[in-house]
Amino acid sequence: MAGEREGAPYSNSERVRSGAVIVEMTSPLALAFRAESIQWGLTAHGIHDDITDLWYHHLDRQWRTAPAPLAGITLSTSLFCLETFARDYGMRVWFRAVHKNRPDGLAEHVLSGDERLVEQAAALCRGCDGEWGRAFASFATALPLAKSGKIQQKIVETAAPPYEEPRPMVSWIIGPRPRNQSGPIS
Amino acid sequence: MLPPGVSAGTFAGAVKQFQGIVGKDWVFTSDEDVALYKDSYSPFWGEKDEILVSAAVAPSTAEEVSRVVRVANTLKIPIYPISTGKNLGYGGSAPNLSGSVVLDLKRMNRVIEVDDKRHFAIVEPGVSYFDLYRYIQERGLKVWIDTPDPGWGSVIGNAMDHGVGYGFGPFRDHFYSHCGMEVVLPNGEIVRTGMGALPNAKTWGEYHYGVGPYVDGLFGQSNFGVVTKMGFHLLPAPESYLTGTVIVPKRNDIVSLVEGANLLEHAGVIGMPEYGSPLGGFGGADQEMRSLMSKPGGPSVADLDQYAEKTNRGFFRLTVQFYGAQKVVRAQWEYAKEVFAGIRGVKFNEGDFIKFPATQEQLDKAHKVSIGVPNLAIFQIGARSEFNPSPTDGHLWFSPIIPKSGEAILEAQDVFMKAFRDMNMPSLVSPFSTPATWMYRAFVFIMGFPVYRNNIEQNKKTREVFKHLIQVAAEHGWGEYRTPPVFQQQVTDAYSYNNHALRRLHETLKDAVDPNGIISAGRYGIWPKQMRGQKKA
Repeated sequence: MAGEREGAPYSNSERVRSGAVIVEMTSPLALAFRAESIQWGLTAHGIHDDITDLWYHHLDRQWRTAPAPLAGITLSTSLFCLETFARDYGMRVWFRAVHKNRPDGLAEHVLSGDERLVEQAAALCRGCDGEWGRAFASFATALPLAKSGKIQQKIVETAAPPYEEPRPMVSWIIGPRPRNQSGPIS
Repeated sequence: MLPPGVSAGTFAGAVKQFQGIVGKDWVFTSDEDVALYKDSYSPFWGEKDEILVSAAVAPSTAEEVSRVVRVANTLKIPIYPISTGKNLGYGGSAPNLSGSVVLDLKRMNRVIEVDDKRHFAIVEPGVSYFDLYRYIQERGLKVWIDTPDPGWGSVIGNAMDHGVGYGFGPFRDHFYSHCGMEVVLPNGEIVRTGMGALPNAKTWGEYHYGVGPYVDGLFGQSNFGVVTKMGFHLLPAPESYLTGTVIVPKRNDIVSLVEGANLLEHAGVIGMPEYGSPLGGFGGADQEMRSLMSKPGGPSVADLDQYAEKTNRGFFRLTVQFYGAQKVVRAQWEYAKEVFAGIRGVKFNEGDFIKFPATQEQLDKAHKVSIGVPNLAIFQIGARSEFNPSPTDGHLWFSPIIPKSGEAILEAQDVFMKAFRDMNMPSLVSPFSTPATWMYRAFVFIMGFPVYRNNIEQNKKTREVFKHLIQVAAEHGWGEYRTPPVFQQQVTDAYSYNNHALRRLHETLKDAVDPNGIISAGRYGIWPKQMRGQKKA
């Protein structure tokens, strides 16, 4: 692909590349993520909140045959639908970050999920200089594998992005349920 | 968490046996996994009374279901079967009894048969409306499904909960349109009903009754068995689709409007009628309307009629839908106009016409569920927008059945507006509210109550209002057709003719079929004998 970047910003055998990215086309943050993801050679699917066509024509088939991690920046309603579907295919939300522009001019990012992903995403967020969309795209090219049972939440504050975000967006990663997951019977 | 009354050792033994039957990958016990079976729209989010599950087991065949049920019955482990668990607004995948093991049937997702010459399907519980639609589309079969909104739920699960759709006639009553079942009983025995009971049955999906007593109704909204296959009648794919709108100018015109629509629908001329008011809906009221609505005691009928006349938008609107051959639907629309022509000031607008196969543009514009196309677009309503600046985290459906008449609509408006006033709560009902028309022979005056994941006080208040409305509805002879688990006891209590004779019959059947009370304890007010006193209180 023309303009595609070579190699990922990370190298680690315990990392995996997102199969594609899902983008809310009305969101400047998501569009920045989309542009950068394409640069990294990721396939980008655009939606306008409703995931029906994407799910029916792509994800259903893909998740049935070869479930792979997927990253996105969407509205929470889109993620709710994807997350609910994901369970039926043995997939889980590994990570989510809820973004909100605050009245004091700062942006707030509430990160939650697998602790390795949260830790690394938090570091990325702090250093992204307000350009979370770009940072998250590079993150999606080399995701740490989710481990079970280590969930955490972090709140990160950054400078607000230079554009108006019409609605709060969510960044997320969905991936296969960790195979070693089992719980104590208590 | 352990199932109530089950020791850790017994539960561990049960889990081991479940793993032996379905494989280790399909028994879920981690906190993260079992949390997924909580009701996404729970009105108890974050409270101690929130319903939790102890584990989940996902078998892939009826034989595996039978073996799991036998283990549960032997060890007295409470189980709660779900198809795909997407019964949102009515409890989702959560059981009535905390600590139950969810029997998740999503892996049983085979379409057994679809026949487009005799117009039926036989499916397993993990088959969603999307799955059945895809199966039909990929094979070019000439039948339509009738789908609810959203269309991601199970065809069987929706029918078992008396779910409904948007299509033609009785097809949209999904339990009514089912035909024959395969059921695993609480002792693990597999039975088939209707013609399915006949070895090598040739008409399982076509003739309901077989011979002798008809028992299928016992398995809907109940806890007498686990349904593992079911037949359904399907609509032959129509050649074309036409809509028309009928607008009437005065509030009381709703009486004639409903009478006309009933005549057309019950005679098979139209599909689902849809009522609305050009004066209600999104966008908010103007200053004059706000002033009218704030009058002490509310606006009079004359006030409202005057306002409707001034705005020249009409008071009530009916959308009629026709399915069939092109020349037939055109003639039906002409006939429908004749039926309503006697209403003074009535106006007609012809709507969309589609000759199938629809173009992408037509599909994009259509109300997809009306033409049998499953989708998820309804979730967009819940997103933050100009009209919905404070989105909720879910909703509870309050669904009282009222008679299919204009008089009943007006009475329900008045009764429920008063109920909200009495509770000092903002009303979800206005003089422009109209019922949902999914039921073929009755209306459902449905209201969606918001639930929040971070507002316990508001959820408590919502539960109080909901309970009050159940009581008010019952006092007027209206009962709910379906309700979230938290309200099932109260709703079924209202069906109390002859000192709860129906409840006693259900309990007698429960004790006979499921003496250990292992399946879906408490579902729709039917508790196992050993829990009856404490849970009814």
